[in-house]
Amino acid sequence: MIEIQDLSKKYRHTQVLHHIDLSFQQGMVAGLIGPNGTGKTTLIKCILGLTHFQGGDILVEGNSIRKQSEYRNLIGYMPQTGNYPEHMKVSDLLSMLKEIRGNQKVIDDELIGSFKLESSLNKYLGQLSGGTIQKVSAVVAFMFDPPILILDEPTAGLDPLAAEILKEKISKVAKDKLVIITSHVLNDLDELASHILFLQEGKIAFYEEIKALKNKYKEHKLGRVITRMMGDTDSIKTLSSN
Amino acid sequence: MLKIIKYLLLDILKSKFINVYMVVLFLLGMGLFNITDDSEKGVLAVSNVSLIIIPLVGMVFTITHIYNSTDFIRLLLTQPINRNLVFMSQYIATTLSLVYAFTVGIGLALILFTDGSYSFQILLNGIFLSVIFSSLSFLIATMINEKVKGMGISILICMYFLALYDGILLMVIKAMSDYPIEKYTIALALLNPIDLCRILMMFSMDISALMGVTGAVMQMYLGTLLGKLLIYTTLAIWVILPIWIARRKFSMKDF
Repeated sequence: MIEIQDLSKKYRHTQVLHHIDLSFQQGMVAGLIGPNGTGKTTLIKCILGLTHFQGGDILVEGNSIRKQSEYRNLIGYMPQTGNYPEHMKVSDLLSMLKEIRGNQKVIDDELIGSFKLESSLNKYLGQLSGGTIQKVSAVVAFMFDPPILILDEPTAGLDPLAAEILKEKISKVAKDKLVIITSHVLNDLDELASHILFLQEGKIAFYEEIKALKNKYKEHKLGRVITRMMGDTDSIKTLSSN
Repeated sequence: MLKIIKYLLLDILKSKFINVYMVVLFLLGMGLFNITDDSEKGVLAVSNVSLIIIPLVGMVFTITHIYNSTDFIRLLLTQPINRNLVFMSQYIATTLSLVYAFTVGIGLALILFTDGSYSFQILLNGIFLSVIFSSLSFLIATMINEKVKGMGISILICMYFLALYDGILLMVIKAMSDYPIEKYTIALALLNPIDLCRILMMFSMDISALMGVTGAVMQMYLGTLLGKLLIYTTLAIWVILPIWIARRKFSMKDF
């Protein structure tokens, strides 16, 4: 579904992504992890067309994303932080996005019910708490039932109940979609992801199936696998004591 | 694009800033028209005050609004619409709300407290300045990522056009007073949109004679139909050039 070919991105003098080559397929839930400032968000932004890249190309369903915006019909994006217009009602935001994607007939607003957002629909976005804004962002991402979902730290800022609801939703729709999740919460990825993509200093450290990794290292928890792979024994001790 | 503009306008028009701006303009107009019995003096006072307030308020509002909308612009950019559309709808919605607040605020004062003479010129000047300083703000906000730096530069540019530029111009005129430089000062006035609006107001009120030789020379060169055409064309360039560059920068920008 998404082919990334020899992707390079430089911000002024800093090379953020170095010749990334990878592909994401339908039915895959890819967890994108790595230390801070390693290029996770930049990679996502390149796919979304928010950031221009110097080298290589990104193909979505076989077509290059350069100089076109239609491919974004296929993508639902949930940002990490959402700062929406203060005096816009939640319902207006949703209607605006529906009007923008006028050609999409299928509307999946199940999350509005699950998050009990009905009473907030007539409220202004400026009146909502950070967590509720995050729920609205999730609704926006899932609303058009897109074949590709890109979720940036989806559970950060959500209360435990809402986080569970969102994870259930992701698992439910993931079968016939491609889901890319960035998260620092390895437990969440352990529950949701089928593959792990570890970025380090703008390069792919590894990109493998979680099941295979667990078998290889004979561990049950993703966190332990990752820390063993990175050869960081201190982190394993910390994880074990938790 | 109209769909997006509609929702953006609904949001901005509900903001306290725009509504307070509109009420303050109205109260200011009302105060200035009632302070003197001579309606021409009142008109001149309102014109002069709006030439200061519009650039300052317009720039502060627009710059703050764009920086606060960064996350929302990012969300719009992840939708299947092209960048120009997102940019132009933000620009049109912000500019329209500034024009609306000015036209209603000052317009109401003009209707209620004057006989309507010169109203057209005051409103036209105000609309031009609102649009020009909105364009300049969009250019600054697209080129500079840090909010505080952008705000600082916008206020500096505002001060430059409001006071510094005229100060420098006066110094040049004084230093070169032995030479016939009137023609050149006219050319220099074209580089400041606020001065252009002041000149237009001067012509429409027929008070250029009060300004001595400079006024007479200005009347001679710019008071003609061709001169006015030159002024309006220059004002149009002040609108289009910054927003055109800003649009190009926006299409290349990393969000």
